[in-house]
Parts: sequence; structure tokens; C-alpha cells
Amino acid sequence: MNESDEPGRDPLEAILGPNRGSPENADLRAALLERTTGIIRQRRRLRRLAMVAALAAFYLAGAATAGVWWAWRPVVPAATPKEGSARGEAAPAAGTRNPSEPRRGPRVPAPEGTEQAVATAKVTRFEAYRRAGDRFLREPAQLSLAVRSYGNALNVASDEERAISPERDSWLLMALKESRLKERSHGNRDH
Amino acid sequence: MSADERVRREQVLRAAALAGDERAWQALYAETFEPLYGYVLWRLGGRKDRADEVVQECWLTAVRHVRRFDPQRGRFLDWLRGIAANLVRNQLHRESRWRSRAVPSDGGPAGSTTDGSPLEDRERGRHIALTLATLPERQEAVLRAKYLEGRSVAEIATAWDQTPKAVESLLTRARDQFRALYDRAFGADERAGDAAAGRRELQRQPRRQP
Repeated sequence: MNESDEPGRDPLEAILGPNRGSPENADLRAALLERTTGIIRQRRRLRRLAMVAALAAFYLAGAATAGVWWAWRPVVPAATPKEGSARGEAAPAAGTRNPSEPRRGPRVPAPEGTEQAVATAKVTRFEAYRRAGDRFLREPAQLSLAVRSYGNALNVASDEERAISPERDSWLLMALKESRLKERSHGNRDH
Repeated sequence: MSADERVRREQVLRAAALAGDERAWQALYAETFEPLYGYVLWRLGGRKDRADEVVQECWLTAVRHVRRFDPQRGRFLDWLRGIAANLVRNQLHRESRWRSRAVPSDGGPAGSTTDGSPLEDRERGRHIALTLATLPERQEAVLRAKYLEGRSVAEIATAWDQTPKAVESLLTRARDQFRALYDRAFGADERAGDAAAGRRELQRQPRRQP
């Protein structure tokens, strides 16, 4: 046995040994636990907050991207409806919008786009053009497009559709129908 | 518990604490509070008020920087001891600066103590703390294992993977070094105290008119 393992013979035991007892530190222990746990709790809240913020940021970024894409997506050049084509039986092509659908943004579809949509619409071509004209008529400063759509509608209209219908026709369509009727009657008279 | 199990367990607790799990933190805290407090108290020569300050600062540092704790490199308690050792060193520096300013005027700290311990005990504690801080790390470690943790030479040798002879030799050197440094620090302080007392005596005497 050496000096180290015999506490009674070790002069440093009195200085370095744990002879001072264990001081009462329950208050300090509890207070420190409360304080450090509070920091851990705060960290958890911050993590959750950051996660929610990140999710919200992703959602907003996605929504913004979709909005930009919707507003600026390229429009396929229109093909004017052919006289001999089947009347509105084709399904709408991908990437085109049905003119009868409500508009989702400030963007006004180009008339070529309207004509493309009409070519693939499920309703009759007259009806599709008429609806497009109605929509243009509701838009401010789109009167010329409304006139063009109604004109196209009257070009492809049957005799029954050419008749003025005060219940369904807008004032502009009625005026155009009346004008066409007059033109036709004048033409007949000239001949 | 094997070393691998200890590492895995502390890794899980660390990750959970980082994720904000209060129970994980409380588990780490409960296991290490008393050993850490005992270590700090020992390093500060038994001065409880100073130990309270250091332990408080140590835990606040630990909870804010627990991400830096790497269980692969050592136990959580060892990591805390590392923080505490730095804080003890800073504390002793502050005390030394304070004393260097205070000694010329009044010869040392005031007679009252914040924790009610006699002034002589506090002075002795301060000398122990200074001496331990001056020792090389390995010598401090063997003294800690022997006197604070109460391990025998054989146990220390097993834990450190050394021969008892080598540990005994290291312990002897550490003791000698401690005694020498302790006596030197105590003597220097007594001399400084005597000089300050002499200055105070001179100041008390009425000035003679030329």
C-alpha cells in the first residue's frame, strides 16, 4: 500500500479531499433547471415557427409561380374555324381555355385564342362565339373584340340562331343581328 | 454501460435536446449537475458563492451551445468540465485583477464574505484554486481522480489504461508540484499582505510637519 491509498497519511487529503461536504444547492439546481429548460422550450417554439414560416414561404412561392405562369403563358396561334368542320364536338385541347369558363385573372384572352377555343368547344360554334362576345362586352375597353366575336358568331349561325332573341342576346348582338338582317334584305332587294 | 452505448445514448439525447425535447435535456441535467458542481467547487477551493456563479454560467453556456457537444469525443460531463475549467480560469483572472487594484490600499479583500465562510478559509480556497489552475492538465486530472472522485491508484490506472506504477509516479509529481506552487502562492500573498499592512500603518501615523 502506498501513500496515495491511505487517506490518513496523505497530507493533501485535508486540502484537496472532498471534506467540505456537499453544500446545499437544491435551489440553484431547481432554478437552473427551470432556466435552461426554458431555453430548450424556446428553441422548440422557434423551430416550429421556422417550419411554419418555411411552409408558408413555399406555398406563397408556388402560388406566385402559378400566377405568373397563368398570366404569361404563351397562347397557341389561332386557327380560324373552318366552315366545313364538325360543329363543336371536339374536346378542349390541353393548354387552352373554354371561353365559357369564368376568367381567373385580369388577362383578356386574345381573339385568336378565342377562335381556337371555339374550334374545340363542345357547344355549337355560334354559341361559343356568342359567349366569348358576351365576355368581351363585360370587359371594359374590349368592345372591338366583342364585335369581332359576335361577327364570327353570326358568320357561322344558322337561321334560327340569327333571329333576334331579346332574352338571350346582348344589346350589341341584337344590334349586329339587326344590321345583318338589314344587309341581307338590302342585298336581296338589289338583286 | 459500454462506451458505444454511452455514445449512442448521448447522441440521441443531444439530438432530442436540439429539437427542443425538454425531457432529454432534463435527463442530461439530472445526471451531470452534481458531479459538475462538485468539480467546480473543488476547482475553486470550496468557495460556494464563486462555484454557484461558475456553475450557473456553465449551464447557460452549455444549453446555448449544446450543438458543439460531440459524444464521440467524450462524455457530456467532460464537455461541461471543459467549459467550467475555462470559466474558473476567467474567474480567477478577474479576482487577480481585482486584488491587484485592491491590495495597495487595504491589503486584500474586505473582512466580510458573501457566503458567510471565514475569511481565512476563503483565502485558502483561493490559493487552492490558483494552484490547481497553474498545474499542468494531466497533474490536475490525477489529483482530481484521486481526491475529488476518491479513486485508488489501481482504479485510475485501469481507467487510463496505464500501469499503477506510472500513475503513482504521476501522482507523486502532481503532489510535489501542488505543494510547491501552493506554498509559493500563499507566501507571496502573505508578503503582499504584510507590505499592505505596513503601508496602512504608515498612513495612520500623523504626518510630521517639516
